[in-house]
This record gives sequence, C-alpha cells and structure tokens, in this order.
Amino acid sequence: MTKTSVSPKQFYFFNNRFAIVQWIFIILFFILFFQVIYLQLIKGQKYSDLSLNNREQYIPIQTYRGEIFGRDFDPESEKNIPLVTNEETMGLYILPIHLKLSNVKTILYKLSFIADYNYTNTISLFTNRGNYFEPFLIKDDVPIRNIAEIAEVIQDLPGIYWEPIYYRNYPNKNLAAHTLGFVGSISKNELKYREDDPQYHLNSIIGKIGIEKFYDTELRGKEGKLLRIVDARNRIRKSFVVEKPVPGHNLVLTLDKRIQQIAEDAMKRERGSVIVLDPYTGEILALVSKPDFDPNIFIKDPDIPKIIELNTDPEKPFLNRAIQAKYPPGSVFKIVTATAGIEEEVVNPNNTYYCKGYYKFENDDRVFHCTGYHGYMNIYTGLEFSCNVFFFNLSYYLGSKKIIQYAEYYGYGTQSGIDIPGELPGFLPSHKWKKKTFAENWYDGDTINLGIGQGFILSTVLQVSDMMAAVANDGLIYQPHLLKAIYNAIDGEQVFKTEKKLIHNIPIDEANLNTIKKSLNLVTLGGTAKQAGRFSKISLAGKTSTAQNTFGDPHAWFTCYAPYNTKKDRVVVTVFLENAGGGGEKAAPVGIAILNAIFKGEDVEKDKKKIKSYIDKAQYERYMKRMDDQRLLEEGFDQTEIQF
Amino acid sequence: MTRQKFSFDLSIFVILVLIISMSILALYSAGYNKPVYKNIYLTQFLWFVIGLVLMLAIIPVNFKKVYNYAHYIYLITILLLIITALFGREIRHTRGWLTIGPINFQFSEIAKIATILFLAKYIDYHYREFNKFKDFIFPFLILLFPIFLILLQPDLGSTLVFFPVFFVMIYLADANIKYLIYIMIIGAITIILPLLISYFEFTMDVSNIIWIKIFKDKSILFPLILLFFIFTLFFKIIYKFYPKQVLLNAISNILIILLIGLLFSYTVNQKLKTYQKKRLLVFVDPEIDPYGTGYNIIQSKIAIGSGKLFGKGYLQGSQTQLGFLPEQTTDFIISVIGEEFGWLGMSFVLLLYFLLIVQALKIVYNARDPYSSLIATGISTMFIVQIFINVGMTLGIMPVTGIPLPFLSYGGSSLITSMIGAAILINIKTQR
Repeated sequence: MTKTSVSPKQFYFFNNRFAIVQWIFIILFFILFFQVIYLQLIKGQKYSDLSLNNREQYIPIQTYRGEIFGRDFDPESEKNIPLVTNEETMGLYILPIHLKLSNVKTILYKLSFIADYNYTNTISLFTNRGNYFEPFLIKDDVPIRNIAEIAEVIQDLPGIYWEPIYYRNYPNKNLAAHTLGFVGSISKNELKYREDDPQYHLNSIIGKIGIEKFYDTELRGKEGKLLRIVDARNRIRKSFVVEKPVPGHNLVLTLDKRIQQIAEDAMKRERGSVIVLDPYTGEILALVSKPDFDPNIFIKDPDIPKIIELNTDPEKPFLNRAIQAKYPPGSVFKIVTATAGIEEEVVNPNNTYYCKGYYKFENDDRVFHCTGYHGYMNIYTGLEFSCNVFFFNLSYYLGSKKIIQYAEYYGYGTQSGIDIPGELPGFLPSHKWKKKTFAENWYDGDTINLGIGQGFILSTVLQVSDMMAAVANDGLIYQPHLLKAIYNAIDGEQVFKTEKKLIHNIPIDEANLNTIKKSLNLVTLGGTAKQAGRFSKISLAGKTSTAQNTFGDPHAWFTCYAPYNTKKDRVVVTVFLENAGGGGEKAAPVGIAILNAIFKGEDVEKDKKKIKSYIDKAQYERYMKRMDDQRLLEEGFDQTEIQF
Repeated sequence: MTRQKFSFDLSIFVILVLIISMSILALYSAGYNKPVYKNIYLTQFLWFVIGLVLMLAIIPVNFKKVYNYAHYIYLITILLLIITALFGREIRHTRGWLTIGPINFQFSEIAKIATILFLAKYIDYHYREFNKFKDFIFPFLILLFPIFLILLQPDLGSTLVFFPVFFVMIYLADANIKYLIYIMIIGAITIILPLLISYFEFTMDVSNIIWIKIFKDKSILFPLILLFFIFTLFFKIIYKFYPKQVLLNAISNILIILLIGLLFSYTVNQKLKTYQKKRLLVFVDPEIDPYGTGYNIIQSKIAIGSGKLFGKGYLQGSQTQLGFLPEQTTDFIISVIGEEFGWLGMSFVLLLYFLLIVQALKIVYNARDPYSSLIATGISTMFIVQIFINVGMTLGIMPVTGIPLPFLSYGGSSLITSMIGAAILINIKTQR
C-alpha cells in the first residue's frame, strides 16, 4: 500500500521523537490542569467575590430637595405655601444596552400605544442621542394607570422600567427669580471641585444661581442607594433599597412674599432693581431685579429657544442688578459726604456756600455744573435740593481721603456678604489706584466728583440700600441676608437660625445723624422728591439721584426709609432704574408707591401710575410755561405783564 | 474485514459520547435564560446524530481508498474554500459560512482533515527523506493553500491549527531537525515582531522610535532586505570556493532565516487588523482593551474561578445565567462547566480529553503503516492544539483566537469535523 515497508512501531521504537511529542502533549495537559487548580481552588474566593460584584449594581435614588418658604412660614402649621417646591412625576425609561436598534424601535412602537407619545419624535431623539449605555427617558409625567398597563405586558418589553423623577417647581414663576435661582445638571467644572464628595456625580442636579446655589448643600439632602441584581443585559432581576434617601432641609427666607409681590408689580416694564430690607436686622424683605425670567424654563423640557433668547437679550435678564452689577451712585452718595462733613466739623448747619449754578477752581478752565441755580445753601438745603456746588465746596475742604474713609465706614467698596452668590464689591477709588491705572496724580476735580458720587466710584444697589439702613438705624449696618432659618424636613425641628451680624458701625454723633435725617425728610417734602413725596401716605426720609454715566441716559436712584417719625416697623426701600432719567421723576414714584402699598395696602400699580401722571403733568406744565415765557420774550413782552 | 468492523475498540467512542453529553448539558444551561439560545442543545444533538451516521459510514472504509483519493478530497475542499471566499455568508465578522439549504457550514473546519489526509500521503511518499531545504517546499505549499483561502475570510484562529499539525507530522517523519528549527525561528519572528510593535503602538507614542519607523516604512525596509540578501549571496559564493569556511555558511544561513522572518512579519503586520492585534495582545496585558476582548477573558476567568471546588450548581451559575459570559455557547463553553460544576466538572472534562489523546497516541504508535500513523498524528495534534488554545484562552493563559473546543463547542461544522476525526482514529485502530 505505502511506499515504505517499515512499520512505524519499529521505527518509533528506536526513535525518541515520538516520546518527545508524547511528553509535550502530556505537559500541555498538565499546564491546563495546574491553571484550573490555581483559578478554582487557590483563587476561587477572589473570583467568587468578583462574580458577586458583577451582578450587583448600586443605583442612586433621587431624593427630595428641600423646599423654600417665605418669612411667613409657621413651623407649627402644615399648610405653609412654599416659594420653591418639587413636582413628582413618573418617568418611563429604556435601558438600550445589548438591545438591537430594531428591537428598541419595536419596543418603543408597542409602548407608544399605552404611554401615548409621539413615536417618530421619540425614536429620532433616541437615535440622535447616540448613547447606547445609559438609560433613555422615554416620557415623564406618565399616569399611574398607564404604568399599571405597562406592568402587565412588561415581559414583552425588555429594558423598560420606570422611576419617580422629582422636578423642581417654582410656582410663582418670575417672582424673586434672581434670588431663589434655579437648578440644573451639574457641569464638568462644578463636578471637578466636588470630586471627593460622593453626593455629587455625573447625573447630579445642582443649584445654578441664587439661594439654590448658595444653600445647595443644605437643600440637596442625601441620595439613597438601590441595590439591583442585574444580568449582563442590564435587565433587573431584583432590587431593594440599601440606603434610604434623606430629604434636604427646608429653608425659610427673610423674603416677604407680599412685599416682594408689591415690589415686582411696581417694577413692571422697568429695568433696574428694588431692595426692601429691615435696617434693624439686615433681613431682606424683597429683592427685585428686572428684567427677569421664569426659572421653570430650565427644569422640565427645557425651553431652549426661550433660554437662548434670554441669554442673547441685550438687557441681560439673568443679571441680578441688585448685587451683580455696579453703577455710579450719584447724589445718594452725598449722604456719605454730608456725614463726613458734619462729623469732621468742616461744616455745621449754619455754614453756607453760595451756588451760582456752577463751580470753578482757580487757575482752571473746567466748569463743574450744578443741577440748578440755588443761591445760599446750607447742609439741609444742600441735601434737600441736591446742590452739587454745596457738595463740591464741602468735598474740596474735606479732601478725598476723608470722603473715602467715610465711604468705607458705609460699606462702599466691600462685599456685604449677602447669602446669594456673585455679589460685587463695587469700586472705591484711591490715590494709589489712580496713579497705577492712569499714571496720573489725584486731582481736586476727582475729589469733588467723588463727593457727589460721580467719577470713578461704583456701587451696587445693595450698598446704597445698606447706606440708608445705617441712616435709619443709628449708623449700624447689619449684614443683609436672605436666610431666616433652616428646618429639618422629616421632624420639622429647627436646625439653624440666622443671628443678626453687625458689619459696619459708622462713628457718627446722634445729633449729626439727626441733621442728615431731617435733611432727607425735607427731600421728600420740598426737595428733589417733593412731587412724588406729596403722594406719600407715610412720613419718610429719602434721597434721589440722577447718576450720569457713559452708557446712555442717567440712572435714576431713590433710596429712603419709612416711617420717619417712629422707629417701629421701619423699612429701607431702594429703587434703582437703569438709564431711566431723573431720580425724582422716575425712581421716587416707584419707591413711594411701594411704601404706600406696604404700609397702607394701596394698589401699587395704580398708585405709581397716579404719581407718574401727576409728575408728567407738572413737567408738561413747567415745559409749556417755559415755552410760553420764551415766546413772550421773543414777542417783546415784559415778563411782569404776564402776572395779570 | 467484516469481522474487524464489529470488534472495534469502544474506548474512544465512549469518551466522545461522554464529552458530547457534557456539551449538551452545558448548552442547555447556557441557553436556559436566553430565548435566542433556548433550543441550541437540541440542534447540537441533531448534529451529534448526523455525526454518528457519518462515523458509522467512515469506520469500515478501507484505508487504501482514502490513500488513493486523498488528493481529490483535498482538491474538492480547496474548491469549497474558494466558493466560500467568493460567496460566503458573513457571521460575526467572518465570511466563513456556506449556506446549503437551512444549514450554514464552515468548510475551514473540514479543511483541516482534508489537508491532514493529503499531507500524510505526501509525507508518507517521501518518508524519512526530508533532509534538504527544497524537500520542505512542496508540503509547505499543500499547507499554505487552505491557509491562504481561510485567511481571506478572514479567520485567523482556524489557520493557527495547521502549523503545529504540519510540524508534528513532519517531525515524526524524521525530518532534518536543522530545518525544523529554522522553520520555528522564522515562525517566531513572524509572530513576535508584529506583536511587539503593536504592543508599543498601543501603549506609548512610537513616533520617535527609529527601528519601528524603519520596519513600517517600505522604502527603507525593502532596500535594506535587498542589501542583506546580496551579502548573503556573497557569503554563499565564497563558501562555494572555500568549503572549509563553515562559519561563513552558518552566518549566511542565519541571515537568510532572519530575512525571511522579517519579510513574513512585515506582511503579517500589514495584514493583521487592529482588533486582531488587540485580541492577541490582551493576553499579554488585558489592560490594553479592558472593555473589548479583555472583558471576555476577565469574565471567563471570573466564571471558572468562582465555581471553586463543587461549582455553583447546575443552572445556578450567575455568570452564565445572567449572561456575563460572551460567546458562551461556542468559544467559552467550558467556562459554563467550570462555573456550574466547579473544579470537579472541569477536571472531569479535561481528564476525558486527556484519555482521548492517550488513546490517539496509542493509535499513532501501533498503526499498521506510516500513512495511518501520520494521519493519526495529524488528528491528535489537531485535537490537542484546539483543546490547549481554547481551554487556555478561557483560563487566561492563551490569547483569544476564536478556536472551538472539539466535541464541546456549539456548532455543526466543528462537531462533525471532530467526529470524523475520531471516526478515522477508530478506523485506523480497527484496521491495524
């Protein structure tokens, strides 16, 4: 049959090659036997542990974020209406891992008949998402009766499961939006700073601005842990709660919802800010920044076009104009200059300066204008009519160092430490700063400009508010704050209560302060705010400001406190209107209307309208009179003849 | 002859029936919780029945016929492989499947047997005559045809079995050990060099490493090879005139081997796809691809290791039942046994394989003629290589290459081929 006649048996007998092959085969088997012993008998326990880890997944359970209440919160009652709450909905998810796209399509198609959603839209959302490993939210707000229906046919719907979702809800929409803030998904940057904290992970929701951000730790509570036994396709075989979620603490704010609403209404169609605070404690009763936004657009089904529109709006609706923007304070700063002047005895109530409508240094061509032609002015009338020339003189004699020193006493140039993020310190100039920035010396012109709150100085609305609080409260400034107390959401126990904290104590003599108070009262009686002041149903002291700025029309300021004649229930109201024009004509009506509404329950919008139309009419009449005067002059009549 | 048919030795048959029973058990467990794989154990049983019929047909065949028709069998297989390469159906990245009616068949499996039959015939014809380099060329070509066609599919794993089979067959045919060593060195260079380079590429920035640059750049490498080749020729010519300079000859031989190895490894490096390189490399360092192929190795080791001594119990293995094991019906089938029957189950299966190989080696030794002996050698080598690579892979000591486990892995082509192999062994034993 074969070519060779030799039998392989005889051949192998004297050839060791067969033996070598045989031994190699046996050694290969021994290697396998040894490795099996090693894996199963020596390392068995280790792999046994690993196999347990494989099927055990810990899933965080979303917890109930703390609610936020206004100052009317009653710990005994259960019917408090929160400013910020959560909305619980049922979310329907699919875990697409290991499912074919065609399977996912079939499942979603089947499900669309029960859960009632648009199949084509959902499938395109799903395919566009591109992520095949993480759960996909098919629909939220699924009614329980639908869930029950789905549960019956769940065997045909692999990968489908449901979980409650808590959505943050701001029932009052735009009300105090900047203060309360809103929540959103954590960003990579935010996560980076919290790497060590297990409470934060990729899917975390975190406060983005306002109270939601500042008190995020208190509000967020602790997530629970759910142990799920899953298979390799991530289908849940069993699940049980290992760690119960701990709901976040409830916050009670100093905000008064009624006053906040009044201030919001007063600021309708305006651009600017209003702060109402209690000068004795620093509690903020209302904080308004306009234009504003509805924080709900960020939460459920984010309204992307609206968000983009707001983001690109040149009026910057997300800017909290009360603390995150700085403006020249203008004439309201004269309170600081006046304080310095009296306290340093540069002036006393009997001193006068003569106002001829402008101010000039010797050897200098520059002219510093006044708001009018005032004649002899003392400290009362200087503040009352906001005479620039009076304060130019005063500033000149005081010197810039003293003005800056008193401005520091009043808190200008430093943050107050209010408990919402993003507060600016404003800006207080100094000789050193000017030298460094402009390579120029400090001029006397800079001093007198500073004395009327113009030039380099910039302040926040809150700083002006605090200044008025100091006037209203014997020179003491308490830290402005929004948090009143923190309550445990489970047992209702008070966890924390804010104590008032003195941040500035202005060294001013009581008699001197009374001089300033009296002058500020005159402002509203016969001074720059007299037109609005005549509508006031409560005695008050205030100061207007028409702050020149390089960006357009002057800013209108009005800051005041009321009641003037009693210390009881005193509040500070500061109104700031961006590029609105005169403080007396524009800001004061808003402030007066707010006070009338707070103390007398007037309808703030009607009141404001009434005051404004009166001022408009008065202005019109004054204008017409001036036009008439001019016409008569041109026609050659003697002015005295018109008296008839 | 008719008497011999009924006196055939039952030992191999009993072993393979036991292994296939384990396979059916494991397949039932693997498909127990998965609707798609629910009934594969029945399909596998059907293949087993078909295999039995084929075995009964092959066992009584006179081996003279096999010897006469070996080259026809080989040619038909080559033809089928060509058809597969042209019209094959693609399943799991490989166009290795030919559809006949309701059945998908992988002819790369049966090609192993056909190649062994023809190779044995050639080696038998030149028995103990493999002394010169040129004697190795033709048997190597017999080997390269199917390998080339299978690589077209591309199915790297299946081709790996051919080399050791050839090597052991020709080794036992008393081939010159010198050339065998040369072949080994060439093979080692061919495999190791591309993998080394890939390893560097996956783990670090290689743009500054000069020798990798040279290796990957045709315009530098090829002139370099040519230069070496001229040197070699030069040495050879000198050696012709001065036959006493044995050192010259040795140097030139070494140079030739290095050159061939370099050329081969260059080709392999160009042909291997990134995922294949990764597969081979994760065995060295699973961290290279922890969620791809590395995942398979890790999960398989966890499954087998967690079985410990007695196993988790039939149908109780969490790795198997919860679907953490990839390809657990085919390449990773033994990890099902390892997890659910523990060390005892694993050892039982390995022992069965060991006994099978012992029986096969006995047949090699006691065969009536060199031809039968060579065929038995080829088949037993084929078995042990597949067993070692597959089981080694599930234990994490061999790279993932996609080689099925004989008699145990799900799949008709593999089972039928293994059973035909066993039938041939029984045939040889019976006809001795």
